[in-house]
Amino acid sequence: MNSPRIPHSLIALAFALLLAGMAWAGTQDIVHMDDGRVLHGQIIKETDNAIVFDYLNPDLGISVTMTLPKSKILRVERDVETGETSTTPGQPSGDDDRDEASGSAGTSGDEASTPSGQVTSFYSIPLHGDVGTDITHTIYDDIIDEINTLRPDVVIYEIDSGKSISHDMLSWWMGQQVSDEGNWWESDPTDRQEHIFYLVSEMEKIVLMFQHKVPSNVRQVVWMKNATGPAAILAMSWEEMYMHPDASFGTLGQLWAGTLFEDADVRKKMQGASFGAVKALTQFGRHDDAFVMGLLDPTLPLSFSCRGREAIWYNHSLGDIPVSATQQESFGDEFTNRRDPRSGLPVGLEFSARPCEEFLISDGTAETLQDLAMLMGYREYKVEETEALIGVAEYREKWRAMLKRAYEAFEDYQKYMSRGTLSDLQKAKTALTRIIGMVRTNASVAMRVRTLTGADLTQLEIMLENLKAQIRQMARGGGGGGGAGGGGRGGGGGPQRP
Amino acid sequence: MNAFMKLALAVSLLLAASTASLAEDVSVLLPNGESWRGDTSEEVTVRYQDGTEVTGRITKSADLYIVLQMGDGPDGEILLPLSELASITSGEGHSSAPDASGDDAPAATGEAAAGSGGNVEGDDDATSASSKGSKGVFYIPFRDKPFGGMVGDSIRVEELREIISQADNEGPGQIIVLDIESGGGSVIEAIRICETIQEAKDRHTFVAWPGYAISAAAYMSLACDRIVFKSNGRLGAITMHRSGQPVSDEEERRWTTMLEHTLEEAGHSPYWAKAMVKNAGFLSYVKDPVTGECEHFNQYQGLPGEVILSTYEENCVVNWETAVESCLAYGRADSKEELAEILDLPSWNELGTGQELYDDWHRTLIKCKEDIRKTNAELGRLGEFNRLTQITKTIAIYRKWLRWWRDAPNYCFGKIPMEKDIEKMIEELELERRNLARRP
Repeated sequence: MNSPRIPHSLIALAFALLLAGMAWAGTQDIVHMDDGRVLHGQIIKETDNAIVFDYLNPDLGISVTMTLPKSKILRVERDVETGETSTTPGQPSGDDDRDEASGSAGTSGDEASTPSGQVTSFYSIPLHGDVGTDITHTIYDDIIDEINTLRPDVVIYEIDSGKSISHDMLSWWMGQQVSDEGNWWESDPTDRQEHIFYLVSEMEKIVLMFQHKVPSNVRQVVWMKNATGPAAILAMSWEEMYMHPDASFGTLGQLWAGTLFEDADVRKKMQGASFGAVKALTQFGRHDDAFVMGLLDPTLPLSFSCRGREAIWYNHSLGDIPVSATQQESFGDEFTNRRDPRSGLPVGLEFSARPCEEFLISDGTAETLQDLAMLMGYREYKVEETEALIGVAEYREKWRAMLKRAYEAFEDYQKYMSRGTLSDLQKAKTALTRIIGMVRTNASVAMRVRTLTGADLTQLEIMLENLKAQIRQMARGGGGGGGAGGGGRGGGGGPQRP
Repeated sequence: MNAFMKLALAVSLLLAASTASLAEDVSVLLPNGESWRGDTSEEVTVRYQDGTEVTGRITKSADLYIVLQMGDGPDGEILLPLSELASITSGEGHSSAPDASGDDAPAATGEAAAGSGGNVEGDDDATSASSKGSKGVFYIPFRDKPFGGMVGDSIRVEELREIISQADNEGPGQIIVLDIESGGGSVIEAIRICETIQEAKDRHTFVAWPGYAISAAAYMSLACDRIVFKSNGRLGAITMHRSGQPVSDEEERRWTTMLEHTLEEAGHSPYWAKAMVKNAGFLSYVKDPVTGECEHFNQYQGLPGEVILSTYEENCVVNWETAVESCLAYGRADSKEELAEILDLPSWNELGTGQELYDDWHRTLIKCKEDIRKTNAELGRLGEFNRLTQITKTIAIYRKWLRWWRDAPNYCFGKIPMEKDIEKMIEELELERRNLARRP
């Protein structure tokens, strides 16, 4: 069930409107809302349904971008000379609005300050990259300890997931759809490779360790810069969620694609088990069951209605706004039914920031930390910078550097194995030993190597023993045949490896 | 709540007559952890938390309330919410107490978890338990992570039997907690586990504590007296299949029937069975707002407040909130301490060696899995040696496999030849080796 949400853009606005009057240069737009508030700022974009409005506080230098549904706008004054109005921007909204909004946001008062009057402290945890490798529960133990020691006022889970689909030239050559982003022909081993099916357990560990171990009186918010695939599940595991204006959210259908068994009962069993695992996490975020189902199953219809400030989702098309329709693949730049270029299967809805805010999926849109602070109702804040946080941020580069070395070792291994002289096999053995060392040392490297090659540590050790046997045979004057093959299966669409 | 209001509530909660002709054992666990045990013929004085007292005979004890027979006939029967009560004193003078059976009475803990679904058998057993044991919980992890196992290898009946044996040593009335985290597995192993639970339920109370309990793991959970979910818990999807292929209709019918019996035996509605096995299984319920009891239906009734748990197009999987609301689960606990609280135990006092049993078995299983893979690969490398060495090494590997058959038979099944076949293969190789050795 989804609890009623108040868009935090409104909260921030209400707060901002309390501030002292300001001198506006040039012209401004004034929006009169149906609840009596008058909002001053600049209209930066307008659609059939909404106005994207930019409020700039010259005192703080903070810009807040918000989406205002036209259904709630009574009147708009455009390009009004700033001298024409002497009222403080938004003054009519007054304290009442501010108080109501702050209360709903769960802040302790007007803003900013802690009960002791100190500046609000933010503890921003990076969850950047791919779940399972970059984002793994093993790197957050120190973070949990530190949160319990420092007791920050707000913990921010900053989610920025890896790319949803990796591209390669072969896929393109075989006529499959590829993205036009970047160098699509280059197969990047650090792109998201793990199938979401194998990441459920890892996601569960991450969510539970934070949900259970972060003190309950610490405000916890998600700020997603990108949350597609498994990261979307992480994002939905907290109740308060904000988005970057360029963020994408969704693409969870990979889980559904793994349950396409022929028999209807078996299929629904698998879906019940897989979707149940996801819903066990998203229930922490109090997200509507129908909405989560609509994300998980790309074949389900999904529509949206709004009753007051409560979002209501349906798994049919009869709501006020149909969000998913089998005939349509895309709805402009707002939300898209994506497809996997390799399998051609739908991988589910992907939303941009604006519809997330309009549909009350997110609590607001913030481009910078300052924007986020404003949305949460804080004017002043400090950001904790600690060794533990730096350690988490650096982990990604660390393991990826190690993965790169493992890749180089794989290339050496393949090269020397193909040459096949005794000396080459010795070198191949050295390369393989290096790979094993890295797989033993780092769980992220082990996971990615397994995804790309199908070989776990035991398999690599078997390959090494096979190679040693081959070397012994050659050293004895044999032909070196037998034994050294096998190992890989080229999983995850990555390059074929041993 | 004043006395008048309580009486008004009691009057408003009149129940249908159910006068028992024979006295039956009854036990009550009060919210303060105290318990009372007696029978339905015993005159008791029930004291409310504000000191008000009422007198009568307790004819029923449920999770959330007791039924007190104050006079003759159906009109004299009132329902008292447990949350309002402070103590129960019988006419013979024995009162509810934190430890009703003595300083080290496990009987009280047994009752605590028994509730409406429990099967603690009368005073004799309880006394026996109290005379031997100490208050606590026998805990065993039934987890298939982190090693990717399942019911049938990671989770098996042997450890369960051992922990039950340890509980037996403490006397009847023990609580055995199964910490379940599994996506399912072998039907046969699940049946063996359920049979073992059911056989021991007349002596002890079984509490399933599921995180994820899917398929066979759900079946095991449903066999227990009580289910307490973790906050990330989900339970269901018990459809039987073979590598993604459906089983025969007859197998499915037997499976569903067995599940129905297991559910009923544990005090649940049998309608859960079909909803968790077949898409076509419908399930809904209505909840009595006063008693908190649920009535389940396998067809839509159109009743006020009716909640649909599973439509005709889905497989039923419930999370903790739904499970508690629909009376399948008793509560939620994310730590052992929280679980103790839910079970009305004063603290978590772990007895037995369940964790050790689990750890030992998993260590063995990991070694077994790795060794069977490596020895299979080693057999493929023997080509580099002469025949005599090949035979010697092969025999060594086969002997290792025999040891694995002894230590981890569940895992060996289907992975390596059967024991008798291995023994025969060794015999043949030894014969060949002897023949080779005789050659000049």
